[in-house]
Amino acid sequence: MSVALKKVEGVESVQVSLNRGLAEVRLKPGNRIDPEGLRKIVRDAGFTPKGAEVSVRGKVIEQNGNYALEVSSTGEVYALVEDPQRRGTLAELVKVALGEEATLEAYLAESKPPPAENSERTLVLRTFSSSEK
Amino acid sequence: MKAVTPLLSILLWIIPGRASGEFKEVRQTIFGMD
Repeated sequence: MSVALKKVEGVESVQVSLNRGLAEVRLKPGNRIDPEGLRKIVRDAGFTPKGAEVSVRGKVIEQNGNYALEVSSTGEVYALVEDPQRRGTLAELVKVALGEEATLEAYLAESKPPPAENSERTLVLRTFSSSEK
Repeated sequence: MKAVTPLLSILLWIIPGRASGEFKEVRQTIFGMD
């Protein structure tokens, strides 16, 4: 799995710890990687991918009365939800960065197994930075 | 000047549309062999 992940264009480094049940993948600037692609590699290697903690930069937008993050490298839009343990963070993000780009530390919920391609993708917001590039 | 104007127009068209959205790091939880 580690070798397969390293071969993906845009991957900078990979650390897999089966004891911790964790694959840490650092990505190069300018990459076009969608975490779903990484999950497919994990699945193909015989493991089951669960949720992921991610660091992601994107544009904070409003969509149908809800807030979302548009990630230009993949064109994907992720629904943003608040972490119950960090109440007020989403409101703060919207206040300072709606319509702007921000870097988020977030939890990317476990995806439904294929072929559920169109299931909504959700990011649980942990923290954010609105100025860092 | 004539050559500069179209170039400037192109740059002004590109720069606002330039977005840097991307994933930087993914710490993926995995379960053992199925």
